[in-house]
Amino acid sequence: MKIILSGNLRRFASFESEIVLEADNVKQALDRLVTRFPDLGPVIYHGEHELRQVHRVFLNGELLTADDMARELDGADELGILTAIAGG
Amino acid sequence: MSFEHECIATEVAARFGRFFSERVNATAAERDRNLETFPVDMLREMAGLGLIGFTAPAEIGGGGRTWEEWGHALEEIGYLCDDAGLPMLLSYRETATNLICRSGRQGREHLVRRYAEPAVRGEAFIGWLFTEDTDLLEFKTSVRRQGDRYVLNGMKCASTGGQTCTAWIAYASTDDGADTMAFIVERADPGVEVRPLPSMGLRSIGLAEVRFDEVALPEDRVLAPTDGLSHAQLFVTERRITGSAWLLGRIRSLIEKVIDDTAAKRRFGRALIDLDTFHAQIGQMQIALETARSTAYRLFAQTQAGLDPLHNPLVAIAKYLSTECALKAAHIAQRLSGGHGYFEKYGIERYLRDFYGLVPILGGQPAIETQLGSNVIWLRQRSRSASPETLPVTRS
Repeated sequence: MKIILSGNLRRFASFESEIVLEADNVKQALDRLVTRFPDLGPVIYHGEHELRQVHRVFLNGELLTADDMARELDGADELGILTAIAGG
Repeated sequence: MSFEHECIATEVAARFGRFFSERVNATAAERDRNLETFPVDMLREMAGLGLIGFTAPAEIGGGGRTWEEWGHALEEIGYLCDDAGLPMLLSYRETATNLICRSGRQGREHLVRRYAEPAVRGEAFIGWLFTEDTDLLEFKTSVRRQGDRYVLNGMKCASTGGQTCTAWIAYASTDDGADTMAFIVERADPGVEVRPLPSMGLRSIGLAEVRFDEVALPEDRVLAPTDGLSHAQLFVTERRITGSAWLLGRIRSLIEKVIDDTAAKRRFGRALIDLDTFHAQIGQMQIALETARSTAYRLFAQTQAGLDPLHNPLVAIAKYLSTECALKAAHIAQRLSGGHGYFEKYGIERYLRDFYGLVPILGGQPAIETQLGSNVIWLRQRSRSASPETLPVTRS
């Protein structure tokens, strides 16, 4: 499967826009993404590896909720992470 | 204008109009010239009038009004008030108080009692400390656990109203870099240093830098124990809505000021106010106003329907558009007004300086453009089946 990062997350992943991974479910895919790119960890997660609310995760274009993290994946799946328009 | 706006405008003029004309407008130019912050006694007076806590819950003494009503009220305050710093400061502190109330619903009622309730009464002034001279995902301000305390170190480069704040909502990265927390920091806490920060415009808001040197905080000062970035985004969302609102009133005021200022001028042997080119420029200013209004009013109405506090791109667009439209109107005003636009004594240049205060904040105009564009491209290329409400540009 592959993970697609939105623009402002790419700099934490060596500016790769598409990351190919092997993962059985959504949560595992995100954990492996963070293992490969540790700088992404504190950006997408907080606390005990919980997804920050400012991010939205899509599975093949479908918006997922926190209850969907165990959803199974296969090799053709595409997981996307989109971030809110942040500001300070 | 809309019916909703007309109703609130009438109320604002009746309740606060005299205070603005007698207490605020009479000294606005002098405050700007002398870099003077709104005095604390004037801020307390505003609380007594009901200008502070307009949207705060009624059970803590607030007005209990809706964001839509507050948006329309702020437009009218921006129109009636000759000091743009006032609606800026009022809306900023309103949001900080509301954020404490919102967090209080999650087991932190003591913070509501200790900070939000006095803020509504005008006895405390709450600020927000987030911005640093870094990318927002790379905070330098840090917090470490030490015994039963949290210890903060770092510097926040801009606090609206910081010169008169009695406490702040402050964000810091945990020392392992894995999370962001939010705390209430009091001005009297040992290790807190406040430095005035003179600025180009909006001078009466009393901008300040705030530094933390080994500031030790007890557990009961924690406002957001985790995911502080999302917590901060709640503040940014409300600020973008209200920041869009008061600019509308300032644009209206500027249009009237330019017309009045032009009434006695002559160019090319004719009254300037009779020239078609002048009419066209005023028309452009009005178009700028109505363009900003169309998005802002749509957003106000969405707040009534239940606004997604984190992922509604219209929130950022409204702030962006109001700022750009205000700047466009101010630039036209400068060109139309000649020396009257350039000389301080006519008060036209102050609009331009004040409007620029919205450019770098709440994401900054270039950052909003970039993030919005990235999201639009991302969704177009990757998620064609995404539902409309997930798209960066909401459909009416």
